Amino acid sequence: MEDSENHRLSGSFSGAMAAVKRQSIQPSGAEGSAEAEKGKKIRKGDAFCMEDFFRIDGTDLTVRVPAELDHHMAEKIKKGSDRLIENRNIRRIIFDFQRTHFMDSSGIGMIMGRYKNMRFMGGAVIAVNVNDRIHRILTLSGIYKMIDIYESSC
Amino acid sequence: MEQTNEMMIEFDSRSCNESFARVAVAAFMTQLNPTLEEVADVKTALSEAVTNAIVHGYENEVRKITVHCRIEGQELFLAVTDKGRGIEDVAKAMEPLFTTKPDSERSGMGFAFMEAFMDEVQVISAPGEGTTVRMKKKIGRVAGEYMD
Repeated sequence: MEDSENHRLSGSFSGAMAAVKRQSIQPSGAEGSAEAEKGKKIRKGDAFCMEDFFRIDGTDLTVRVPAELDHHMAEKIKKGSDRLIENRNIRRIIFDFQRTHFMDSSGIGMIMGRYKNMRFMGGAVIAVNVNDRIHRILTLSGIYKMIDIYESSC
Repeated sequence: MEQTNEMMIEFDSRSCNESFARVAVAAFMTQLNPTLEEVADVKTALSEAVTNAIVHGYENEVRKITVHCRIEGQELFLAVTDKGRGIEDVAKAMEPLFTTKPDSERSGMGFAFMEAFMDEVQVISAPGEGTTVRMKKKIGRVAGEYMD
């Protein structure tokens, strides 16, 4: 049950990523159009899925962290959020852990990386809807010294 | 005699298999009647070991990772093995915040998390030959304690 949910999430995520790619870089040539063709098939749900992970409100980027934040998902979140930060004027990243029940040190690395980027640009990073488990991981890693953590939505 | 049970899985060192390994081990350990927290602890430790094998052992090359699981009484033993590049200085690698890959946003907390969530962690490694991480955790609640 839990596993199939993950599979669905990660599958739709790559679709969402493909959508961003198409927006920023217009594919040209045979290879590009083949990729666009492939993208068309899964396009239907793309816009929704993109919203599922990232939301922009003014200069705030909210990252809705998936159910399990491991190395696999951390890489996807990293690529997706960096692309948005590059193209939009983002001043704050909000990691929303509402639906997250698993995180490991790869997640810590990803948040730390975003924190470094944001601080470099004078922005901030916060974590909201943090449950006991995630709180324990964040505390253990020492990252709570750098980012503000809220148990509810801020 | 103490009850024992064993299982072993082998899978490709792809990051999408990390969640598979976690779920497989979590399912196997349910026969110890663990608390949700104990399951979460084991899943986190296992995830760290498997991620290390993928990122450091094989450096994202696709080869095989073996997870060996054994139950003896109330104790759970895990062994995660790769045949990758191995670790030159194990003590150094296990220091919190030490990482050989700071550029790819590795936090250097992997072994620290394994040690925090398991009772014992042992690393057997030789450069060029691969690494085995052995972990042990006692699952507290006695099976059937709450049954009549």
